[in-house]
Amino acid sequence: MKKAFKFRVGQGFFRSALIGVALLAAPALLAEEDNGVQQLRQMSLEELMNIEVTSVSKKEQRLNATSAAIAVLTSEDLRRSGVTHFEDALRLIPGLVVAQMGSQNWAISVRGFNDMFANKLLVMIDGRSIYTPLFSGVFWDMQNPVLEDIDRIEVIRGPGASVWGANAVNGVINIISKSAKDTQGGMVSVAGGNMDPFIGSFRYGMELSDSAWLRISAKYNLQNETTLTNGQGAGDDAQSGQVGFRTDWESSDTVDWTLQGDVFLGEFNQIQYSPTNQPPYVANVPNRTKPVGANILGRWTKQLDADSQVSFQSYFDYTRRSNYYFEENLYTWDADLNYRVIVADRHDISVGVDGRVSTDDITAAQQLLSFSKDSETHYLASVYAQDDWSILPDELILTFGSKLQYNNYTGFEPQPTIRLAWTPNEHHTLWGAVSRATRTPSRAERSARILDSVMPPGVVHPILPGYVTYLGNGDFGSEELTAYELGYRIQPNARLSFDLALFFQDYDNLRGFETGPPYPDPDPPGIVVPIYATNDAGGYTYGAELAARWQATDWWQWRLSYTFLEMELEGSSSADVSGKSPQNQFSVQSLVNLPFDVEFDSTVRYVGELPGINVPSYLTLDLRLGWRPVDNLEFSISGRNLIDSPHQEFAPSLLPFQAGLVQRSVVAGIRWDF
Amino acid sequence: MESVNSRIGRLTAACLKAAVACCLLVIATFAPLPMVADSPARAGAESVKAVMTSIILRSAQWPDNAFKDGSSAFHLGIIGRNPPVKEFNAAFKGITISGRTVTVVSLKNPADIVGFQAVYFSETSEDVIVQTLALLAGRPVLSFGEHDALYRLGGVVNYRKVDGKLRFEFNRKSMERSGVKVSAQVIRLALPTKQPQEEAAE
Repeated sequence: MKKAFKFRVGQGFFRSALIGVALLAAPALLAEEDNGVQQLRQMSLEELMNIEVTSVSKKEQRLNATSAAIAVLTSEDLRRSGVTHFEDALRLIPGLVVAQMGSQNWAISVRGFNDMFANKLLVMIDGRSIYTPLFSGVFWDMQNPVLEDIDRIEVIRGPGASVWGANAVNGVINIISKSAKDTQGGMVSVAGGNMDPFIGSFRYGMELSDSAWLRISAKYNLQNETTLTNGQGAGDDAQSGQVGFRTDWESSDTVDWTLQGDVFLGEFNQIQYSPTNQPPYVANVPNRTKPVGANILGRWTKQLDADSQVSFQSYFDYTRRSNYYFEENLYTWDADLNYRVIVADRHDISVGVDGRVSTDDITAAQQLLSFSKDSETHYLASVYAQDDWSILPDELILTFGSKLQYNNYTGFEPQPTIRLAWTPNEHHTLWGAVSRATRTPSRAERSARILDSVMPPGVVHPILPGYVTYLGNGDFGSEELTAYELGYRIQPNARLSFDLALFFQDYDNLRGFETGPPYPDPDPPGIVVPIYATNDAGGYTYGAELAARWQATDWWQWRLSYTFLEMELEGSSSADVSGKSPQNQFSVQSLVNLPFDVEFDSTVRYVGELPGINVPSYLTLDLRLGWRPVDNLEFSISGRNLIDSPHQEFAPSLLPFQAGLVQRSVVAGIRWDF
Repeated sequence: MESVNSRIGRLTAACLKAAVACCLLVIATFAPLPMVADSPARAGAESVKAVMTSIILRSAQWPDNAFKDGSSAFHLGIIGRNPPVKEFNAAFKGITISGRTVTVVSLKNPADIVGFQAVYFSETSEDVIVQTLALLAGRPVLSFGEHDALYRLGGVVNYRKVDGKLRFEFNRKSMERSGVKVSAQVIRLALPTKQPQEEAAE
């Protein structure tokens, strides 16, 4: 389902939940509106003119008691983080595990199960799913939005499946861009440094009429290769570009239209460790990935009356990814209809239907990676209903609902949730939730054949090599999760807030692997050692996620996040999976507004070891110095990984490649708005 | 796979840990800190605009013909989508203007503004602003909003965000035409602007 859309119009609970946490991020706003205004009323006009204001709509502000673990990164947070890739900014959110491999590969997940092919996280850009059914995950290297166009990144930790649907198992990331109305005029941003020699962004927004606006944006990135532990280059230099547009039209006081689209091009190099049937049975092979993407999305929203709203969204998305292993063309069509109504002032009811058709066309390098069918079409259809029931208005809210989803792999999948939030006063919210979510099988798990390694003659067979091969399993079913969550938010005063989430997540039918009896294969001659994907694994995870903000003075803010994760998994893949996510992570961020419009920001971040892939713990320091001599001009210089650099953050397992270390980097930039 | 009892035991343990952690957090948080509200460093734009509007209105002097009679209330109308009625009600709660209680009303039809003493434009089109201000021409009504065209079209107070903070443009000519007198101390805080007539002359 389309997340941004639903945040805005369809899903009362999740939209209000996200905005609620946005308010938490702005401590003064967490208080009930009356209370917040009462504080403002004590101030003079001059004092009011010194308050930093946030633009959150009235309807959203009204709902501040949220029953989910949610975090919001605003555009200001992104700017102050000094990141050049939005993935880096996700590191600041508790519960998220973000690891970089080389210049453009990422492993990102929520609440464990991290991998380059992580499959329990749903990611959306403006309501468009960027999930690929190929492996039920995200090709992060194909996402390159103009950072200055991003309005906010909303992250739900824990299941969001009752609303969002398949693969919103451990979390949802929703990247929401600014409206064309809010990006009028021009913007040029140029930055460069030792790892990113050039990052250029351009945007121009214009008024088409007094109720319609257009924005055109473009971005180009050049990335240098990283280095290996022996100091040699990893051969993973990269470049990518993106051009996009967005049009917003308020055709009347009750009707909004949005039309937007992007075209993406990239070229990424890396050295692949490719199995061969000649000694030493593995070869370093240059692998140049050339992704191409294009998408277009339309959205219509109509406010029927003060208490009801209907919206429709549809998009088409095309991606092509060609590299050493295969070329995949993927065509996705999606349509989504939502209706929201408030009944008797107590029930905020959302209902909707969604349909998605994905057709792929894969040409594979036969020995290394192939599929049982060159082309396959996936169908997803779902209906959902959810009620936010204000049992005691503004104090006790019960949320219950379910999505019933159909997919052509596993049929119907009910995914219910029940949540309760108690807000006895404006300083406290206690919430709990029980949810069920499923992760549908990927194309690879059902029908892929992946050559993992070649064993020399004499190991499996006296004279023939052994081909250790992952084989898809046509009976592979959905992974299932039942999650129990408990959260507590507290705002002792206007300058201090805490957000704690505890979770216990019980998994069944997790993916495992089973080795079958070897069998001879004539082409090429050898013995295949088959490894089948199974649903034989399971277990549970539990942990805690803490976020805190302290506005120490009007010019100095502190932020803290801490994540504890314990994974207790059983089954054939448990050791491999559980050792890839850190048990402890924390970050401390200081944001200082100095005189003369100078900003000095620093972040210290610790990530625990990954015993499953022999990655040691590391501590990083990022610094940023910014200066805005005039309103429309900004200079900045940022240093990342200033201690403990270079360091390893992750290691690829399936389809391994030469992953460079994360380097110490410095980037200087200038932004001009005109 | 693990037995059900074992899982329940783990779940119980996790819940206990959760409860302990919550208690510790509450104790740690409340012990050193008084439960008082500081002056906020950040706030919702509509709330700030509502309070600023109340301050500006309270500073103003209204001609006698602005009100129907001596006991009638002060009426503020909000026109446009997403009207911030709750914020304005909170800002004006218990406040009097020229000794009159204040009512805040969201208006669907701009024509309904006649008889009001102040209008606030929330998100709306230039056409609606033009139509409304035409209805109010020469009447003792102050107009507020945040719109690119409001100042140019003759609105009195136009809020603008500058560096993430709220400022306002003040159209002195429009105020004079309305017959309402806003305190000079308030006008002095306005952003420096040229009057639309001056711009036209140039």
